[in-house]
Amino acid sequence: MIDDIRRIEDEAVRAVAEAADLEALDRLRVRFLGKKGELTLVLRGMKDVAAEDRPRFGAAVNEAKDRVEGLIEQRLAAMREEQQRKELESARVDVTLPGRKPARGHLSPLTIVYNEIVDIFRAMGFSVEDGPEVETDWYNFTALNFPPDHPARDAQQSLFVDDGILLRTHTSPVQIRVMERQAPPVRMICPGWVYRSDTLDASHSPMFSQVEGLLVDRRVTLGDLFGVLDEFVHRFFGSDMKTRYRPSFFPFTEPSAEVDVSCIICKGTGSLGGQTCRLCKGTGWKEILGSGLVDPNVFAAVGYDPEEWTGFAFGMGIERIAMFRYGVDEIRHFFEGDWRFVSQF
Amino acid sequence: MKISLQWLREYVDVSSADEVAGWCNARGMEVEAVYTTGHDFDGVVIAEVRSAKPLEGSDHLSVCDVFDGASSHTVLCGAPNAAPGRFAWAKPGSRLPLGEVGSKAVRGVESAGMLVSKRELGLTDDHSGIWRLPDDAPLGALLHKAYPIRDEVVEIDVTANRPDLLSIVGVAREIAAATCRPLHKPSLSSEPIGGEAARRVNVAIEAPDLCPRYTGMIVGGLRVSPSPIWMQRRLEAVGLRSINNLVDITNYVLFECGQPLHAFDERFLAGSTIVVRKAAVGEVVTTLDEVDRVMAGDEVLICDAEKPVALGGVMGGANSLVGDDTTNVFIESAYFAPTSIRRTSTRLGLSTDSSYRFERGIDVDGVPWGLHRAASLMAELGGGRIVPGYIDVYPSVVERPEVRVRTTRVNHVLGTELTQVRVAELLRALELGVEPKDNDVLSVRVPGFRVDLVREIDMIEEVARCHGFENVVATLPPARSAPKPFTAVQRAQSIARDVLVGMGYSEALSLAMTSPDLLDRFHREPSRYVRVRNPLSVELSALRDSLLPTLCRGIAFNMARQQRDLAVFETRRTYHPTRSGELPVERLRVAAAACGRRIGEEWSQQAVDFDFFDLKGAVELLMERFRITERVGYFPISDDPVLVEGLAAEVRLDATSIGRVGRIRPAILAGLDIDSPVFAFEIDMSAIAEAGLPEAVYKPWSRFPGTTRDLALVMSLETAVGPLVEALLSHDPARIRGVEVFDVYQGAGLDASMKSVAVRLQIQSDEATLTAEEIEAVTSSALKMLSDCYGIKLR
Repeated sequence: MIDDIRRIEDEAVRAVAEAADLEALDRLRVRFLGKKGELTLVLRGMKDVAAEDRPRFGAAVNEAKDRVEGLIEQRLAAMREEQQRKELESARVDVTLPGRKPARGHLSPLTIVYNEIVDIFRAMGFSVEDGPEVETDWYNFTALNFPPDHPARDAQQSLFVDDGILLRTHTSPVQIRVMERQAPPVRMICPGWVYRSDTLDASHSPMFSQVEGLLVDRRVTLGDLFGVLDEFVHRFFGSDMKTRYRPSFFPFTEPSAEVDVSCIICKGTGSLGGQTCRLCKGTGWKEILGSGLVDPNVFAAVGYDPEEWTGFAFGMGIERIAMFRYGVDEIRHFFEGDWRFVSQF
Repeated sequence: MKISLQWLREYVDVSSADEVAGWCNARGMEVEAVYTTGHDFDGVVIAEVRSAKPLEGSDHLSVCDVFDGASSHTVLCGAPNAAPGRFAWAKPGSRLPLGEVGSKAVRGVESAGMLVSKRELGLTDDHSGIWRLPDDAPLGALLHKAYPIRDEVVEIDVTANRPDLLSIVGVAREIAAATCRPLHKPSLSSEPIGGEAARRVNVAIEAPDLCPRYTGMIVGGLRVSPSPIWMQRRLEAVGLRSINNLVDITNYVLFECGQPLHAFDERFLAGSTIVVRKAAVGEVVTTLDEVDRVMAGDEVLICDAEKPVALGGVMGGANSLVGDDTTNVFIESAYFAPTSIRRTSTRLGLSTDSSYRFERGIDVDGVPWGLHRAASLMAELGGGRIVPGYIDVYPSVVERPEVRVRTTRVNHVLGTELTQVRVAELLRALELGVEPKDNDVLSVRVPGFRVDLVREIDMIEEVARCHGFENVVATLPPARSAPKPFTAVQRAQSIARDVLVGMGYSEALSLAMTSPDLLDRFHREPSRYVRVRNPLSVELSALRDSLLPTLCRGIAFNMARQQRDLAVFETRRTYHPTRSGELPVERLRVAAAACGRRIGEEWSQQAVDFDFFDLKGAVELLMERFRITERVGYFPISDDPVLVEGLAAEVRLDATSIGRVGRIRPAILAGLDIDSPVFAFEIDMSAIAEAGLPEAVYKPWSRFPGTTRDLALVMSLETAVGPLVEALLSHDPARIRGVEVFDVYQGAGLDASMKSVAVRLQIQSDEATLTAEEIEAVTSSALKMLSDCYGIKLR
């Protein structure tokens, strides 16, 4: 009987080793280990074995079954592995071929810069306010201390659509509208499009975008203006950027200051490899902002008491900042929609 | 304003142009440029032309006998003014801006170097002739050694509030104050008011509101000649052209002290009278540029006994000019009201150095100084004699303001800790009269040249400027409130940008004003868009009432540059007229347009062109993101002026139209040179924002398994599928949870007028796992509804 077991076992080992595929292995499993399999049938012959031999006999059968089972599993695993290897082999690709990119849109660089500016000022507590782009002379000029027939209006040549109604030349009218409807304190920015009577060329545009800011509170000082703008410059351009405040004139602020930042190309040195820096024309500075303390006449126009409240306002052109940051040489690129430009951002 | 360093140094000591530039920037005069004018020319000497004879056979060249003090040379010259006299002669080999001067021969005559014009020396663009030098010019001397040819110029931007800085003296005063150096002003001997001058010319002001002060002097026995070279060069440095000594002196004094002057030839003043009056409506004045100018009636005119002789404060008249034969001059130095001059100058489109200063405000107290300065220069440089006395008509003296300045307020506003003594010191350096009133308040008297200083805040600005912005400590104000949330419109715009960029559309930003012609192409009837009254060009004269025209033009722009696969969007405002005199309505919109290939041809996939459903899908995704899908419907439109019938849908929010999507009519595109299909949509985002932007609300999903049933429905080609889907969704909402259209078929096996639409119902209940019978009941009920209401059967 033991010899039978050995014989069947040997036969099973040979057959498993020779099995060509998964199906053959399945058949072998049935033939040797199935309900009517050869080893199963041997076990049924147990009744004919002497009682004292039965444990040894049973153990021998089970050993043989385990061995065959193990061999089948081994072959099975090897075959599966081989099959997967072949599948993967046939799935090989040239990884240097280009990938399949989903279509991607591009925001205008002006929007990118705009979003960053808005984020910075909101983090400093400024609300974002809007106002009409077509404005009355009162909001655009008079309330902002530009009297009629004042030469200061020359700097902002206006486009009129009706008597006393014009395309706003700056976003400052929003300051007036907000102060009219809101008691101080005020902490706001007003981003938006503005219009001047300029021909579109490399450095001028009849339309451009501004972000203006206004902060009104008790005891707001010139030092506070410098502090907030320094903070903005450091967050937007980097903490190593220097600022320079130059006295200037805007009808709606006094004192007024223009703000320069150190040139990002030549790092404020004015020269680049022995040549005069073209971006800052060798000065080491680039003007990016106009600012000042709110003129008492503006407070008077909106009914704020200038003795009680002080404030500051500032404004910057987004195009100028985007040109400075990205090295864009012509302002008109922003408005022509040339794909070769748009797709770079 | 250009500042000549040579000239500036007459009034204040400065070390270099860079020093001047530094102070200008620090004191509020933005430096625009710093440069050198004129060079040291080695080889250009002063020489005498002894004779000039025409070159035989040439119609314009002269053969000049040129003597340089040591020897004679033969020089050919093509200038019309080649004649005996002293000129600048560039020897052979000397280097000029144009290159090296050689010797050349014409018709056998060799020219030794050349006689040069100012343009050839790079001094001005004057090429009317060679540069005639004074008869006493030192013969043989190098030109740049004999005369101040070379100068440095600091060009500054003077803000509208500081007309006093539109003069060399004004800038010198500012630098003197900044550096604590003395200001040297030429001392003038003043004539007494009245005297012979007043007896010779009678002056009357009939319009004292337009001309509060009018002064005049007479200089006789003058000889008109070129100005001395130092004066020529200074005028050229500030951007003027030298005319003759008398005209140059009026310009020189204007740029020196900011007082505009006018010189009349006394012979032409009929009746030896000056009357300053308001112009009559329609009166015509011929200004010295020979233009007849029609008066509106509010101009100020300078007249003699018979006629206007000058447009006051703006430009002299053609009839009373100083000419080459002038000997006696009446000099006018006056103060005109700024508003009046500005109106005149703006209306006539005529801005002069005089009007520019008058409209900003000149020093009313400095009027006689400019007058005396000009008269004494004329006497000195024109060989003339001042007629004793001067005329000063000044009916009511303009009082200078006295301003109270609180030291505490100065520090409160600036965030500084300045003492009263320091504040007083800073203001005094600006030539302001400062007196302490108590231990806080200062009383400040403002001199006439500072027209900008009227209020306390003006003084505070002066203190800040003089103290130095760099000495103000930067601080951060405490925030007392949190920022307001973004408005719905702001959020909607930002969402739309993100969604569209994510879908592959790129952002366009077009000018808001465009040509009426472009807008008209997108309308059927002449439309009512907002127009700019004073556009730069007709191309920029209409405000957009839709974003589609400029989007399409952007596509055309790219197509002309071989970029044909495009997907662009813009989210901006459009403008819609209301009643005259009222502000137009502004709406925020979003529009997108696409053409060419949505997916380019690649090794791994086929190219796919954009079509209607790409754009509609973009709208659907936007609506989904705005969470208003259920409230939005799409309806075919047939009469749209922009979109092709059968490829056009109106987008409705509830019952209101909020936009449209479809294919742009080829005829419109052809006008823009676009030859391929363009699909587009435009949506009113203001309406979406007004509808509110709901937040996402979590809904638990069914715990029970769902299933699907596919139905192939046969219907006529005209049947719109959208309403069927809606009907199925609302038929049994508790169990039909979704309807997908997964195939639309027409062709073999179907009647030519029919199509087959395959829909997949998603069936699921929140209550229980549906049995096969229940599922069957749901489908058959849905089919019955389709059959009853629409006559649609299963295929």
